[in-house]
Amino acid sequence: MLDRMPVKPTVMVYYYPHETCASKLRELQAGLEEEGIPAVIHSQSEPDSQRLGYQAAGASHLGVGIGVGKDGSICIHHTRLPEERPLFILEGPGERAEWRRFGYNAARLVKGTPFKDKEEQPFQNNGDDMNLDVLKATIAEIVKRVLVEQSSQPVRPADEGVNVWSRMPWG
Amino acid sequence: MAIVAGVDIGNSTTEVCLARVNARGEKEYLSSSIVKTTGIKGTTANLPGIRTALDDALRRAGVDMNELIQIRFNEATPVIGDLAMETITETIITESTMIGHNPGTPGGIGLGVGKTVTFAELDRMQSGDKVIVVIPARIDFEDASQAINWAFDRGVDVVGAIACQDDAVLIANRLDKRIPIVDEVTFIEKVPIGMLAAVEVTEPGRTIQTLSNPYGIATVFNLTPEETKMVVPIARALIGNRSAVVVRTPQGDVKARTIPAGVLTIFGQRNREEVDVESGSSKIMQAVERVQPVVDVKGEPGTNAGGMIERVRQVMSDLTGQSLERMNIQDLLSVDTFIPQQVRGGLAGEFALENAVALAAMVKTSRLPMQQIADQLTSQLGIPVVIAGVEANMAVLGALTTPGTDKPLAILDMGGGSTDAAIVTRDEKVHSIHLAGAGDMVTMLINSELGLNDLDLAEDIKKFPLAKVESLYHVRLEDGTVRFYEEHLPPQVFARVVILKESGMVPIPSEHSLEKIRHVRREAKKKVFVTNALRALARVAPTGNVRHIEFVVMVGGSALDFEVADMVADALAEYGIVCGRGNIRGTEGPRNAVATGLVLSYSGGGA
Repeated sequence: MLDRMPVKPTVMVYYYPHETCASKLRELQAGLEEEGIPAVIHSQSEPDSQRLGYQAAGASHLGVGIGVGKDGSICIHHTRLPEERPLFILEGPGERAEWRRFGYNAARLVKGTPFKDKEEQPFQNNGDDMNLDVLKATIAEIVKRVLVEQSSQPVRPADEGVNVWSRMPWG
Repeated sequence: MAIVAGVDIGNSTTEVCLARVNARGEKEYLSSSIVKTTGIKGTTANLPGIRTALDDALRRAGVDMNELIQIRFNEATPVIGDLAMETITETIITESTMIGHNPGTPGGIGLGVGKTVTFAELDRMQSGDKVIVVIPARIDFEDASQAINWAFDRGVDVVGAIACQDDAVLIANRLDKRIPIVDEVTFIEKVPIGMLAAVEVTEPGRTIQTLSNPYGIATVFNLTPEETKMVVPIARALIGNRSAVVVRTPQGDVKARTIPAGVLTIFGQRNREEVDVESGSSKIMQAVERVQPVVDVKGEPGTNAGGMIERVRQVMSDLTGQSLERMNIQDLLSVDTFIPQQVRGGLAGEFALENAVALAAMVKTSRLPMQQIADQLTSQLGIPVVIAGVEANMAVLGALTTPGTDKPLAILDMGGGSTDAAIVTRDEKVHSIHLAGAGDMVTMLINSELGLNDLDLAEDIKKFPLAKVESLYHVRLEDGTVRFYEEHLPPQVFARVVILKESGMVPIPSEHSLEKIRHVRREAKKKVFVTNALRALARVAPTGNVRHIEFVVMVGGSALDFEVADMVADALAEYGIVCGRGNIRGTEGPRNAVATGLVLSYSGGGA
């Protein structure tokens, strides 16, 4: 019956019921809602988050699924990815901010906007910020100098049949 | 049968051309090589690079070092370029007055004007109070929205909210009334409390209308004409945002300060010109043209211009080990640019675009100690090393090996540090000049205009085309074509603008759109290379008229760039000149001109 009704495009969230899954689901949903992407949640008997995620992605009209496994791990999957290679996986229990981030990123996968990184630490002290920059610059300078002195390696003229595509390490 | 090697030591690369010369003086080219120059050009630190380049060329040709009968150096032109950039305006917020950032997902829609109160104070507000609530980190969105709804019930007029965490949409969705909410305000504790403030959020795809307009801010806060003048920088910084907050504090004012940039004095052989840096780069360049040839440039002491020129001089003096007084600036290229700078006193890392002038200066030093390098190489290898000729003459000789060229021919050598031009007339006379500004200046402009703070990244943006990753499996290139991948792309590049290097994709960590980055890149190249190509050719042209040159061959590292050569050729097309990238010996492209010229100039004799 349900299958024949017109289906709203949503991100699917499949979970294996366990102790902390309620708060995980809440944060995941909050993340998706903040980004403005609807989600539907189903409980499943499969315990593995990766498999759950893959199945959810297959069921989603947007092709994006989230799996919450028995061990508390969370996985974001896309229907066009091979099952054993999920996009993101959160091993172990994690914490609230991370669960929320998984919600944001599942939505961003649908929207095609850059993913959120791990919570950026807001610098409370501008002094530290400055020192870090100075330190970074100094290190970069030293590394550069060492490289310049060592690298009398032959360089290829850049136009020598630049086929950017064929040399991608991943494909 | 003799084998000779031509070695060209440039600012960035050392190139070798290896050839066999028979008894009749005919040359058979064996191989070429190119390595990064070690150390500063013209110092003995170049030796390791020269050795590697020679070894490399010999290996490719299958020739042993002791078969070489002569190594030929060029008399390197002792010009060194340096760069400087100075902002001429600065925006300072003396007390926090605005939050102009653009969170990805603000909540609600509209404009709210009220007094800022902390979240904890909210339940003490009276009915009828118009307030904007400031929600710190670690307040859950459910608690936040519930508290605001209760305040609504009590008759408190909550007109907007400012939140620290990324949950504006979540809060807005749970409120009984629609109010604008700006989130992801990092320094939430710095938002002044008890002050009149305005929060504006628009629909997705639109930009704010009230707070980006000085009169809008004046209307909201009842400002006097004097005060309205002061908020212009705020309004300017908020243009293009989807959301913004402006807080009015008693002493709060924003100043767009114009820093006294100072006066440059440009000395020519006969006269001199004074020009204010503030008047912009076109005025500076006009002054440079009027006093040609430039013999020196001085800045007003105690001003930015003075400091900038003195810094260039100091750097050059340190590099060459020659005294400061002998560092005379012989050319100046000035370009108008802007620098996104963090607003001093901002709350969420706001940026304001400050006007700036970028300068490239070229210093002519006394002869570089090439003989010293030659002597040391001879003692290392036991092969005679000869300093064979002036760089420009050698480059012209090499450039003439490009198929389809003839005299009179001009070369345009676009390198990293300087743009050089030389012309050879029908009667073999060579005339050459050196101008400030080339590839390194382009890198500097890209770096500053995009606010990257990463010269290596700017260099990559300069050298490689861009693409936007549109899904896990495909990217759209900057020309609109699409490329698919069999395996999924790494999540770090998803939905980002990337640089397509040979080694892979490099994501650009900024919010700039592909179009913006491309525009900045192309404009920087035009501002430097097209300007300099025209300046250089006008100066070497026999009559000062570019039209009297027939052939222009572009050589040097920047001629390899994927778009610079086309831009220059395009600009020169209207003068009816045959202009294109060189193809030295018909095989080398725009590389190896000087090294080839050195080999060609070998006549079998000692020099």
